[in-house]
Amino acid sequence: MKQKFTLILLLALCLKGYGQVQDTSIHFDQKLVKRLIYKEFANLINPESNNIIGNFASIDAKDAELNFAGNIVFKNGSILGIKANGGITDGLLSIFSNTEFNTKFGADVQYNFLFHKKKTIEYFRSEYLKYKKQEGKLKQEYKIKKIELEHENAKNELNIEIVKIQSEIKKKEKAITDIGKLIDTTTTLNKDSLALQTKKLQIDLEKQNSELAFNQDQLAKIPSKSQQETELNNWYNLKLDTIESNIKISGFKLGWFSIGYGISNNSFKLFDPSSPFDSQVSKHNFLSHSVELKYNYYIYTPVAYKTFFISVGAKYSFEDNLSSLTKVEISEAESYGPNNERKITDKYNAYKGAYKDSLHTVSFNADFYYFLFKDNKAAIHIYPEEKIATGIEPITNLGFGFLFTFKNKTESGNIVNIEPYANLFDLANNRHSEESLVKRSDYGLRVTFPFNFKTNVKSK
Amino acid sequence: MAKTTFSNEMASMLIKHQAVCMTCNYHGKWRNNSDEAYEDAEKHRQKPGNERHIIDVLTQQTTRLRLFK
Repeated sequence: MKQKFTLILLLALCLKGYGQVQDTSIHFDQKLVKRLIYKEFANLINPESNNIIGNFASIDAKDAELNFAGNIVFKNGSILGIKANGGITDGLLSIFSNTEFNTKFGADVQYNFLFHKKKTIEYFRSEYLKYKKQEGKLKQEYKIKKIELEHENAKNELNIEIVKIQSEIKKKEKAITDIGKLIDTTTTLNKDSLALQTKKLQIDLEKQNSELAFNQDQLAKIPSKSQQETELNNWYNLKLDTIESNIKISGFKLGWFSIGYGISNNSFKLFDPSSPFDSQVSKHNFLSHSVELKYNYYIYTPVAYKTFFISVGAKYSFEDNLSSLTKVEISEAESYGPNNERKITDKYNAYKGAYKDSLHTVSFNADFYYFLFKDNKAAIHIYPEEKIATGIEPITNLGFGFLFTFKNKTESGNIVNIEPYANLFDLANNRHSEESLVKRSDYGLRVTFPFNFKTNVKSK
Repeated sequence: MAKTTFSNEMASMLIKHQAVCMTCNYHGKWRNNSDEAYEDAEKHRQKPGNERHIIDVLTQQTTRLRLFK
């Protein structure tokens, strides 16, 4: 209990301390974090990076795999990322040629602890000065409204208006009486014209009576001073929020830990040429689980060649070794006709090699992006991995790609990220594969579409 | 700008400024004073061929909360 109280006291003191310095700076709050996710993190998002920050949909041509990811941003600035994926491990081309597929479905959740005590943001001074000008104007407007409230200006103005209308009504009533008398006594003036003038005055009189009743009603319903003060303060805070959300954040430095859990189901066929003919191809299914701890560091700046992202992590998996097996295409033909003139062929992929499941695997991985050119248009992406599994040789994999980010001209958000990549599998050939490194490796093209959910955060 | 560091017992904030050219890849040194960054910007503009470059000053703001003193 004592510990809890001390922690609460510390947090309260920190917030108080932060409050005293923030007047000269820009808030680093949930809205800002959201803006970073929806815009600046768009460069990083692709399913290979293992980071579920940003909302995106992606397609990988090599695995014919679709990924969807979304985020929940908490009040403390931390992010929960959720990703679902599904695909055909045979590849995109197999859809057009094969009849049966090997499939993979999975889901990942990742919690990113972004409430770091050190936070850096970058913004252009011209933007900041524009913000300060708008803030100053709003403060002045607020002060004037406050003075008006203090002196019950609304009440005064209504009273002045009522007195003015009452005086106008009296004048008009007198004019109507005078014209009435004139109609009764005149011998020279046109009586019809005088009657029309009376009618016009009566209409005006009716209008002013209605206006008087409305103003008297407003005066009776005028809110109390404290209610008006609350409404005024709410108006000020909402306006200030809008002005602050208009500041363009051009860069940031962030370091954070993340933990994640993933589950994936592989459904596939195994081909064993040493088995009897009827049992050479068998169907298998395996559910794998993984937990991961990562540290991420991201420096994003509008200055060319200064932006990079690095992430290092350790992962424990309960999985199979399907990714290390060799894919083979099997054709099965059935013949028809007296001389077997007609043949029907079914094609499908199967995996060949020593299949092992229920493996306890530990892997250490890194993910590195170095951005190039003005506006960080492209990046070199390197992602090595060291995998240690029970009962089989440890392996080192190395992935690399070249990322192109295509941005919308009117907004800074990316509309599509395209990355040709190569995954070099078992660099040292510890598992004694008969195939060369080039043949046992993967090559492909990842296309990612970042998308924004509608928020009250203004686009950059 | 007279001061660039604001601090009290629980929080500190460091502000730095740098001239950044929007037209080419030029960026100046990080400065504690925004006026120095603006001077860098003008020096860059005065170089031949740079007269019509658009240069802004980038401000970097680092906030650090101290949990223990």
